[in-house]
Amino acid sequence: MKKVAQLGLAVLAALLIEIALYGVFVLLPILPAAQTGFSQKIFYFHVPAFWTAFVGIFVTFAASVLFLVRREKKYDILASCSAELALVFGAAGMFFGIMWDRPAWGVWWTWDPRLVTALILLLTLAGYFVLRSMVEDEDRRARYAAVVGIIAFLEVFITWYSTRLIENVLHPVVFSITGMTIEPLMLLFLILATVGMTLLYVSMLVFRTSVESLRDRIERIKLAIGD
Amino acid sequence: MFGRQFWAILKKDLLLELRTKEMITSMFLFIILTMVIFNYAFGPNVSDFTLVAAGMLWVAFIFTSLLGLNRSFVHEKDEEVIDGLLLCPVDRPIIFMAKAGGNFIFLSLVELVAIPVFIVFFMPRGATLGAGWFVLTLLLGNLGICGVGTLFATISVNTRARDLMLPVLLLPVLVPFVIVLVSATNQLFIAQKSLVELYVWLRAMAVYDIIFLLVAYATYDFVIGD
Repeated sequence: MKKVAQLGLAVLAALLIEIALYGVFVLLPILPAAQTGFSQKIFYFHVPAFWTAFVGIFVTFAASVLFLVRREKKYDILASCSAELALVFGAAGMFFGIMWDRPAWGVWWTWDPRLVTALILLLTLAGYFVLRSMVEDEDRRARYAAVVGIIAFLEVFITWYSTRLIENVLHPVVFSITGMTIEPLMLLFLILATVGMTLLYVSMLVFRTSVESLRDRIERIKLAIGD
Repeated sequence: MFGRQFWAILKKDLLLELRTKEMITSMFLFIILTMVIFNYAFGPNVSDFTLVAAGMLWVAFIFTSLLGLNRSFVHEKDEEVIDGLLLCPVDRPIIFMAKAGGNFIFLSLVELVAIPVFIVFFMPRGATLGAGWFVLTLLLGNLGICGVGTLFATISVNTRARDLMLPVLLLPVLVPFVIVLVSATNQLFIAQKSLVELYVWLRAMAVYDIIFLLVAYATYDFVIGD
């Protein structure tokens, strides 16, 4: 039953993303060049990818807090698997973003608050995994990772706040997604892509945590029978 | 009670440093060398450092603080002082406050000696430093660096990579702080100062200090010891 539900979730995610792909590339019109033309279609996958990365980092944060409070291994597994996926979706979102920057803004990279926040988030997550690989003791690794997981989440808001502040004080917003009015059909496919990608994250998270839990169980059994 | 325990741990660190002077000396030399390298990194033709002075100052201080933060826990770990500390009937957060306090004092002392050198080397022409504001900026900056730095130094000294781990963890977290630090210091170096703007940056620094000191204080129990 559990397996069927897992598979169903994955299929549903794939289906929604397929529908969104079809809608975005076949049904929706290509916008005029002033509104960045064909490249604007990256938007439907760039935004959902980042949204999913933020969901991932939030789950890591919540699981880290729960681990520190309850000290149960399953929360540590959940936190690390979710951080892994946040890193993957964040990197994908960043890649889509850089592809879109060039036609939309004329540059590959700009120190815009959104970009800086995303970059810092990715760097912090990378540090999270370097840390995990550097601690052998299981309980200690989980505790350290939980502390960094909590700080990584706060970090997102603080970076956003600081970069916004510097922009508000020093110069007005240079780049913005203005001139792109979202029509109902565009919104529909954006939502479909977002829901699809979030479900993809959830189903990957379920698979990853079950694999990690199994690995953990095997380790324990090995230890019990004296390797 | 709190005060006595805090002071006892802090005094241990201060005495150790006073007798060996190894941390302060190397931090100070490191800062001076960084400044010399900066001078050539920007090329020999730059004579007006107004635009980059604040950034240079904080890059030098932050890298120096990495040295100090690592050293402050290497002793504890190698000489097994930390086990002794954990056996004492002292709350873990007090250990955090004392260690962070020690790091704060060392960083401030090194800055005290390094700043005159910085002024001689790089002080932008025509800059009228508001000494009081400058000191306040430095203190708020050091507090932010040492609070979260002490937490991460405790983590990294217990990993396989030891001191290599600290920059990987600490620098991303410090990026937003560097943004406000440099902006505040910049206000002090430019000719047309705006107190309103300086106030915005100082307030942001204070907010950052409070958030990270609270988080570090709350989570330190999970980081130190077994």
